[in-house]
Amino acid sequence: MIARPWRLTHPRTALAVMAVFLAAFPTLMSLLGGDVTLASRVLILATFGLGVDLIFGFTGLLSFGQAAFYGTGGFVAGYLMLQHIVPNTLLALAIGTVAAALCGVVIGALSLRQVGVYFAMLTLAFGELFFFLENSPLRAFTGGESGLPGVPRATIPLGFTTIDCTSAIGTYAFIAVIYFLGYLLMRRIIASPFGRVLRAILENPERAAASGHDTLRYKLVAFTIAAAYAGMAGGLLGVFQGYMPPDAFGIDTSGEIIVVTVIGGAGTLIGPLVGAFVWIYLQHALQNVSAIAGIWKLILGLIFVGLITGFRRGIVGGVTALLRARRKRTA
Amino acid sequence: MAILEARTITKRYGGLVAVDGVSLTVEPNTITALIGPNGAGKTTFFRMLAGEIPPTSGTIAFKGHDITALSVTRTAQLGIAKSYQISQFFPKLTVRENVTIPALAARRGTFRIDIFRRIDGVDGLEALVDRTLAQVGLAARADERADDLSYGEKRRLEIGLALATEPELLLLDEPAAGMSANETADTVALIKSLRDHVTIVIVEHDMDVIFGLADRILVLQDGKMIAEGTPAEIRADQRVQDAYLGGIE
Repeated sequence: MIARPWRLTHPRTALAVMAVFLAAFPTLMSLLGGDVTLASRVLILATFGLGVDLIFGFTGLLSFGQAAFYGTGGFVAGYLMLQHIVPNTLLALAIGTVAAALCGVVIGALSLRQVGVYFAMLTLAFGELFFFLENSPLRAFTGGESGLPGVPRATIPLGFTTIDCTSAIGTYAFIAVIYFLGYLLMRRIIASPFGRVLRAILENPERAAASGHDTLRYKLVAFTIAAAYAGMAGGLLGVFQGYMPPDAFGIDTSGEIIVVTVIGGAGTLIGPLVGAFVWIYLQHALQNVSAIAGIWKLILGLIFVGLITGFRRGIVGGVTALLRARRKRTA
Repeated sequence: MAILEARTITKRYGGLVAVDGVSLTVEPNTITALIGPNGAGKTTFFRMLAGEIPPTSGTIAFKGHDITALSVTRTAQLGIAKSYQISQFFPKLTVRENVTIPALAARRGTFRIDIFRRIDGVDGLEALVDRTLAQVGLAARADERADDLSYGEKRRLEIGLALATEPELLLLDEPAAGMSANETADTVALIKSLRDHVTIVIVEHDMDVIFGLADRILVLQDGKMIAEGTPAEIRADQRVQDAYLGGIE
């Protein structure tokens, strides 16, 4: 294909647009009646969603247990920082991410031999198991129902000085940089030979295997990468809120991230960002309309039913298809 | 040395014996055909050769190595490829992307975490993909979505997916099924052009295709082999006449 730098699909253009968007996002949010913390929340969810997009949108694995990794990353990183075992924010987040990835290897190895609904049910069961572990046997570390209050905000020690990210905008910048790097890495993964094999597994797993690819191992690595993204996002949640909530492990969290990814557009990479924005912004906006105070969740639900019915491939997938159809007509 | 040697292969499903003690020896660079009425066990036998299902008893050796218990992924890596009776491609990918999938397996092995490499950075990949597209006559259609191909083109893509694994042994399951006379002629020409590079075993219903291509023919009936020989021998064989060819000549 001919490289067209002005096209949004050109890699360098796409990354530049993403960087500009992330820089402008807090302002955009306040113009819409939100604030910078809302923007941070969107990017945390979008980071989480990048991993779900990899396994669901690009590999075809529907996991209902992603909260297990989100919670693991969040609680491991949060505990390490809170107890001053690892005061370095980045190192603590990295350890939380690795811990989540290790859980991903184990859960993936135990569930990926199953396909379709059986795989989904197994991940759901593992998710519930982790929720139980957080609540009971591990409560000495996790705080049980009260979670971990007092997780320190982000700082980056550089030796000679420390970059302070404790303000709301500082925290946003910290999260935005990590999201950007996560997005960049995911683009590379999708464009790599490894990513192409995942696409093959999505499209026709039997033929991918018959072509000579060890599909189980590819799925396991993809699942592990998704767990790592979830773990990083969970860690960011603790840093952002100054508190690690037990419902990070909840089944609602697993469901929410699937809805966010599907509404935004699975298999598009920016789908989770768009989905997270719509999800969080609508919640915020609807809650603040006094006329519908009692029924805002009902209205939110109806909007999502409408979105999913109207955009079968998510907002990004739907808009791309519309643009392509229009270009074809004018050409 | 024979490239493929299947010895007394049997497949039982409960009380049903789908394939009953069939043996097959395939010499390199030949075309061997399996024929027989519906339900004779051809497809089941084929699936065992490709490693899709294990035989109940018997052994299969490829280039002297026992492959009886190997998975389809392992046999593909060793050099056995199968094209399917019902097209099994990657519908939303382009023709070129489709052919890239088995080519990646041929060039990178069963598994590799090369997330920082670009697809065009894989050694020899592009050449293999281009060569395969040219072989099956789809170079001009490379950027079409596989779903949008015509039926005949889809069948050629199916063969292309098998060829792009760089096989030494190619198993073709009814490559001309459902084709028009012209498309069938093209397919026969394609298979003939392959015989110098690769050993072929073919299951086909179209007798013209079989007798025009095969060096050796195996006739199956009710899971048993009832005849084996050159096309001329099979034509003259009274049992085959009775069992199968019936009214043809």
